[in-house]
Amino acid sequence: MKEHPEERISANLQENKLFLQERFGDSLDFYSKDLTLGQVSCCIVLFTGLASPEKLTVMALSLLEQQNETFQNGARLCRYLLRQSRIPTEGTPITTRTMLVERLANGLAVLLIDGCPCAVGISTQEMPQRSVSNPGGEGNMHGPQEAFTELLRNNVSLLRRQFRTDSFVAELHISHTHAKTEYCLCYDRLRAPADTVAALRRRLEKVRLPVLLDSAYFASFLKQDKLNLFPAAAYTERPATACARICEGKVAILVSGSPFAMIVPSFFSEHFESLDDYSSGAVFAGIIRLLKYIAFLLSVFGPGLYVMALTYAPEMIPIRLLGTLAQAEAHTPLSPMLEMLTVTLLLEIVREAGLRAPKAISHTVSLVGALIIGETAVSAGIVSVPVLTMAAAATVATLAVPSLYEQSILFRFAVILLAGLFGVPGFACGALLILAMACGSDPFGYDYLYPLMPPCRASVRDGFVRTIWSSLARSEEEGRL
Amino acid sequence: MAAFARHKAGIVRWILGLFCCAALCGCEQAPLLSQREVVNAVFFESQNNGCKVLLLVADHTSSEQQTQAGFRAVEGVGKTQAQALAAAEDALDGQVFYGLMDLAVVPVSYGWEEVTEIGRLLYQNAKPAPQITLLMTERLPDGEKAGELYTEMKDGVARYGLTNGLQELFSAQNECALPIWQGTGYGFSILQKGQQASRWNEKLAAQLAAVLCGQTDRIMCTFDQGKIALQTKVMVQAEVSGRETVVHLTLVEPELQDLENIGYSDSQLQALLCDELQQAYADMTADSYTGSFDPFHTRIQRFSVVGREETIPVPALCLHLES
Amino acid sequence: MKREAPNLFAALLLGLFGNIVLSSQIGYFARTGILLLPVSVAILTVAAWGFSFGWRMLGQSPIMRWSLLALLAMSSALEILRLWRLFETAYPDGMNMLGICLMIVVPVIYLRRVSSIAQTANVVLAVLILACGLLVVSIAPQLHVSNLQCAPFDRTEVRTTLWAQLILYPELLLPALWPGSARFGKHTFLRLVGWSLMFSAAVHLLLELFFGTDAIRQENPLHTAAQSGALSIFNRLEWMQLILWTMVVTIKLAVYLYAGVRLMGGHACKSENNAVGLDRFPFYFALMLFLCALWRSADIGTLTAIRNILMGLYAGMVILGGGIRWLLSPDTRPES
Repeated sequence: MKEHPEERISANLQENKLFLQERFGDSLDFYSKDLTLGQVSCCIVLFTGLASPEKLTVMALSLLEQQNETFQNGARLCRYLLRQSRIPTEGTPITTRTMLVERLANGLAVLLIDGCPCAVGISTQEMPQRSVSNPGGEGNMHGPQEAFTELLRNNVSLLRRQFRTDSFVAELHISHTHAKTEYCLCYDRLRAPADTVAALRRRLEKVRLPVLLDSAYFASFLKQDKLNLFPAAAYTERPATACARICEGKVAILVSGSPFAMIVPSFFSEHFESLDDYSSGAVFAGIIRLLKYIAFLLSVFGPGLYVMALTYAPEMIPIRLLGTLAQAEAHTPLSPMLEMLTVTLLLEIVREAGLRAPKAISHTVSLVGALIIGETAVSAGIVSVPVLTMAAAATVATLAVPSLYEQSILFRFAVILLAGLFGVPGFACGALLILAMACGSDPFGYDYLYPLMPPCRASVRDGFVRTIWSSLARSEEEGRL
Repeated sequence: MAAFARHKAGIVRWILGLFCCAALCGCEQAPLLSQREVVNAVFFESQNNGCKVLLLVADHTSSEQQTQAGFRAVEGVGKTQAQALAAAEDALDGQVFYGLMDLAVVPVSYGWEEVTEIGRLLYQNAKPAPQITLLMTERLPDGEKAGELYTEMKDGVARYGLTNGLQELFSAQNECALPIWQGTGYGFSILQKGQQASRWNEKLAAQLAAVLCGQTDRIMCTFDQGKIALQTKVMVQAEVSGRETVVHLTLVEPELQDLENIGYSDSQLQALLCDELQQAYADMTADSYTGSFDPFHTRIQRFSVVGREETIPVPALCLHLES
Repeated sequence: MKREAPNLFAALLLGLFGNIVLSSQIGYFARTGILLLPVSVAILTVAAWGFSFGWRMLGQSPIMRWSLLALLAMSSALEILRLWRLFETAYPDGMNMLGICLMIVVPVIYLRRVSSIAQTANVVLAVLILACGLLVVSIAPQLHVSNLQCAPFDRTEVRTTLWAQLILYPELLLPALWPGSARFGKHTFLRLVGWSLMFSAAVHLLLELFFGTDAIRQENPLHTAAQSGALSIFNRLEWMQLILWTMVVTIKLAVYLYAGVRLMGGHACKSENNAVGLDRFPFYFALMLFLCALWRSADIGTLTAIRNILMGLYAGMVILGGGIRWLLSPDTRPES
């Protein structure tokens, strides 16, 4: 990129200091210190919250004081620092003001040198950060219990620790946002298809956002069909999961400030997989996976099916249950559809309140939701027990597949409305809409329903169920993209 | 015109929106479950001046289901079966719902014409038409006992493994067969167009007929004047060789019990059983094989070997006992 | 895996199977149908191939395109109306025709890409085959070999059977419209016709085993048979069939719409995979609603027979016209 002449760092130290004073002089955390190295005037600038003056002193200044060499001019000093000294400087000099600001924002201490049109960045990052801890979601009994943090470089190092080969690539990019947030594309260059990586790189490069606080902000830009509600990507908090996906040939996108990695391309079946699937026995893992599929179907279609059965097709209700349901329905004022919508809406409100409420009162929210709304609403005859049971079962089933939570809720509401208004054809419409969305989604040209549909060996190998590891490892080549 | 061309997509969207509203206005027309009158069974009866229909309806207000207290009966009379059924439906408080109906009972005095007329009526009216078991009965109950009879019949159908439906009335040309409920078992009747019905009240003969007609796969009764009890699964296979048809009846692991402790050996019991079965078969084939009727459906097997025939010869019965 | 050029074979096959399962009546007994199967397969395959050949010669003609477009629109409306009548039969106190029409047509929005039609059809076809298997298992105790009929193999029976089997459904003509990249494997027409007629024969056999002589007179026979099924605790499964039939009809409509867009001048969006642009949908919905409202009181059986005759005449015209043009075309004349 052609540099604007005004952007270049001046050889005059005072001009550079003036520039920085104008930009950051009022900032509380901006620190600058004049010093002389040999016969050369210099100035150290850093942000105190991001860089550590102590580290600077220990790693750089003390070492420099011990040097016997004298520096006659700034250019020699700069060359010495970049190529000869043991001080941990960056490999390339800082030549523009934009680079200067970026390095300072990255936590480097920058040494401005009088008489030299470059500056030297010294790695002295020490910013407050959350330590690597257990992930908040994605509960697993086996496997690593580490989670990503907000620091991008930490996250890359967590991946690098798992990926001990030379094929692991972590490409750093700057997003086109006001804050110029960094993001990183991590992939295995031997396994990830080059055209997929290139297409992803191109699409992300075109993204223009006012702010980038999470990798999920990229999601809508990666979707081919904006009407499709299925997620374009998967998210994970666990480096182990991200590593597994990278081994499959996918790309993990890490954004600075976000502890979630975005995995593309993402398939439908991946939402039903977890690390425990591969740590447990194949039979148990297969059963649990099938259970999750059933839970998803229950959460999406259960309430709608109940409303449809009660209103339009009572013949599907077991005869012994019919009387109970009819009596329950007779004692409530709302129609089954409105009742189900009301209860589902209330459950969502309680959930959202529990999530957003401060910890101190979240227990109160749970109490209010469960006891007061549930118990008293039934006692007052506002809602009936069967409807409440069905809605609660669907809500619990949703949590078995948390990565599809948003879709489950949206689809559930849609199916309840369609089944309640239009009966059997409405239910069919809802089911086909969801199926068509899933079938029509092709992330980066891949079948979203792979390996579930069309049914093939892969559906049984690692789709609906999982085969034993020895068989899975043998067919690893086929499983790659 | 230019304005229309510019805005035609928007105009069409508005029209579409109106259609959607019209569609929504017609929605949720279905009555609530508590407003439906769920019919479990229908009983037909002929009276001197016409017909009577009794609808057995589930009573939602009762906490006991599947017992007498869980039902109520609604009657209707008319000159024809259709009129009587319509009158009974009108007598209901809510919307009639046939989706859970699983039993239809007709009088034993009805012939083929009346029974098939009822079958067509049920096909037309009882929607969504479920699998309906058809039985005949000597006497219809009054309203209060209808629920008890329904429960008894349902239990009997399950116990004796009876499988028949409306389609049984029309699967053969001009003939059909129906069990006759007798309380502690069932008789059997073969109805033929323009002929008098053939009827067997004796349990072994009736159940043999039901097996040969394909409406059950087991025999559970007593024979030899109630002295011996029999429980067995049965398999039927027809074999045509030359001009003769042989119906092979295989009794799988028959359990024979000497109820009066006479001291029969197993072979004696089996011999008695075979004799009685052969006698019953001879009696029933003497009655039912008239003209071109084929009550035990051996026509297709004969057609495969011999070709088309006007009259079907009486097949011979060959018994096999499989331990 | 990587999605290759989408193949609409499954969608066309699903449409043909849908024609069979949604028939309001069957026309013949199984024995005659099976005996005449090879003849019908041969005739239909030749007719479909002939249409494809003739279309290459005549396909640019606006009259031919608009005629086929009109037939496809008529077929779409008839599919909706047929399903509506089935719903009315099953649930008399159900919803109105407009509601059912909307429920069938709205999902077509998500089936506007060829890839989505193809993949959805694969799934629904798999479910249909599974459902048919479950249906057979659930009514197995009521299937009797003795119900098979000894239909005479005479001229009347042969004529009736051939009349019922030799229906040139739109699905058999549509492959002629697909672009080169969407051409199927070898023997496409033979496979389509063969599978559909074999499926038809199997359904006829099943219905005859169940209904006996009444199979010919029964209205909506497959639906009526399925209502009698019982599988363990699942006693009432007819609502599942109706859901499946709705999905099948919606996919048919999506295929017809895609063909219609091609007839109107090709794809509406830049990439071929984006078969139908979103801006076309309001007009499509409006047209379907209008046609359904127009024909709601008509006899669907008669209209379907008229459609079949028109389709046959149209195909005959294309075959004949295409053949004449091929003979007269200077490129095909042998060098003297």
